[in-house]
Amino acid sequence: MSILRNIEKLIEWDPRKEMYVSPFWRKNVIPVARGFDPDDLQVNANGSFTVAAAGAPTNPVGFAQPFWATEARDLPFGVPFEWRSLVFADSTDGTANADFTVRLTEMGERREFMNNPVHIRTIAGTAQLPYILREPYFLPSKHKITAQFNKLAGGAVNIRMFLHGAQYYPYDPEFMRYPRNREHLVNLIQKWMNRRKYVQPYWLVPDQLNVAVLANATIDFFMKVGDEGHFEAYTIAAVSTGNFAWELIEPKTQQTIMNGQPTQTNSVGTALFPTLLPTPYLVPAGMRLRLRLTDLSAAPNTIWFCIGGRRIYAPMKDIGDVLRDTSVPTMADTPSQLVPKPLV
Amino acid sequence: MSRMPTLIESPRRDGSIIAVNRRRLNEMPYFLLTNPPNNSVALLANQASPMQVCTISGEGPAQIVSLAHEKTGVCRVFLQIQDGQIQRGLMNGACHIDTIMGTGAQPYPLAEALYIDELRSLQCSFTDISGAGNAVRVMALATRYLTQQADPSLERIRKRMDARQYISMPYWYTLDNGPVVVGAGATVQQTITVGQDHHFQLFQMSAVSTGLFDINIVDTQRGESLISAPQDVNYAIGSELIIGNGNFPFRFHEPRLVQVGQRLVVTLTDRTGAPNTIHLTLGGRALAVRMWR
Repeated sequence: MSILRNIEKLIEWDPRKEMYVSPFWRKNVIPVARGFDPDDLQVNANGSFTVAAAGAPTNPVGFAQPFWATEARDLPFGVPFEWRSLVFADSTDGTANADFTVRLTEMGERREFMNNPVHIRTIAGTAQLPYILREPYFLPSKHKITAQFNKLAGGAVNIRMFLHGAQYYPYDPEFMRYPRNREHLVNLIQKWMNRRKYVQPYWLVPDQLNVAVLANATIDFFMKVGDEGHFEAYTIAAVSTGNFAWELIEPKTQQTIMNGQPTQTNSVGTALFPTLLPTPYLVPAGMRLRLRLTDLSAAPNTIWFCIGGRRIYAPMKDIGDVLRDTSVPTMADTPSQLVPKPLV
Repeated sequence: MSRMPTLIESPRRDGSIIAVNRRRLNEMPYFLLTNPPNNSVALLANQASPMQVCTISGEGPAQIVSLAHEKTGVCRVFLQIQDGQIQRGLMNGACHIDTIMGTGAQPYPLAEALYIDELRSLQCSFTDISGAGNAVRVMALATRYLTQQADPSLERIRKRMDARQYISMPYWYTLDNGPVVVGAGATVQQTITVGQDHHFQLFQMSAVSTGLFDINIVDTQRGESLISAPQDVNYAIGSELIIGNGNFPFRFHEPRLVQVGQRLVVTLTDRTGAPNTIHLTLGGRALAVRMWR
């Protein structure tokens, strides 16, 4: 990741030449805040979006990545965007008390960023404390991420939401004179284009939509990781109407990550300060987690519990197996030795 | 300890991911609490609790990296480890809980990770100072290394942790006399004496007080202030400029070594114009004397 994220420096030391060089191409990676698509007719003139009073979810509203290209060779790239953090503002209820859920999807590829709608205050921060994605997401030109909101209580609100990150401009008149600089930028984009096939940010929440726990009661909920990819947890955040205790167990192996029941106060943050796990928690594909919630508020408690991390689409292997698989193939490994070549 | 990478990237460096490292399954976060059924420790008004034990199973050792808590009233806490039959304190006296433990969102980071295994447990005792009944829940956030899988790389990590456990461990110092009440506008001098069995490396500072105060700390061995270093004339600094709390302790830009048996003189001046009760805690780590003679 260090190579992919090393875009900040405009001066770097070249150990081969033993001199400072200027990676000129890095000036074409610029900070960008991507808001709601201004071409979307649902978006208000000032860029905000109105979430109707509690009831049915809104229509999806998009964050569209535009396309520009000046030459034919730029067409495959356009101007892609690397999404790194998420912020929002709620002008009516106040951001600190905003009470709605969001579901993010990439429309073109139907990629889901969460298994169920997530409370906004567990995944989006503010300018001072933005919610940092543990895995940036690379959004190519002409791609669109949609957000579907659902107000949980109260009247309609106007919200603004921005994806902060970096935009890549692989075309530049100066690249005509310095084509090697363009190569650097294009190579970096191609790395991202490959990586995004395997890894994406993801939020895991209970399979059941409304997690309500009666006063002093204990209820089990399940969080299914699904068969299509592994999940690696980095943060824990929750919003609730009262304090609660929780316990997380992987039922198949009976592996737990605690020796009792921690509480929301002593172990769970929000999007502003999510609890950072000291080491990521890898949950293999096909597993599910059992979340046991106990109310401590002595009143009915609605709990929005959210584990943030990334989804990985790759086989699980030992390093030794990988080395064996990627070594120079022998004759016995070639398909022609095993399968007769079709004649026509 | 370095973390194992999860993703095995393509050797061609084209951004492709070949596989997920299976060994990552043997390293996981762990929320260590006082053993059930005492996840919540009940305290009587102004009384101390029995020593509470936090143990892990024999699946593998853990390294505690931060502390958090929840309580219904203020209290002091004393931490120690039980290693086999030996008990070893992690502080010179009970500290105010809000100076060494944060909350779930902002836990208190330890200067040095604390190693524990099935034979070495963390223990804590609480003393209520709220004057009313109190319930305390502490949580130690840790990294767990499961060694049941007989993974050679994890075994190497475990051996390194095992070797390091007696060399360096987190440690806290509070004033030798415990909390101090400074009269309105008055100045008092207190001491902090480093133990005879370790050096103390100071990393961070936190306090709970009834109001603002000025502080100066002088290392008597070197005769210099920790605030403004070796100046002939130094002046105290306001508590709001150098003292943090359990959520955000003030972290010095460089750690400072206070050698075995040395004494720090702490000068405290009240700025509130009313009696000021001050609970001061210096956080750092204890270094085995034999390693730094």
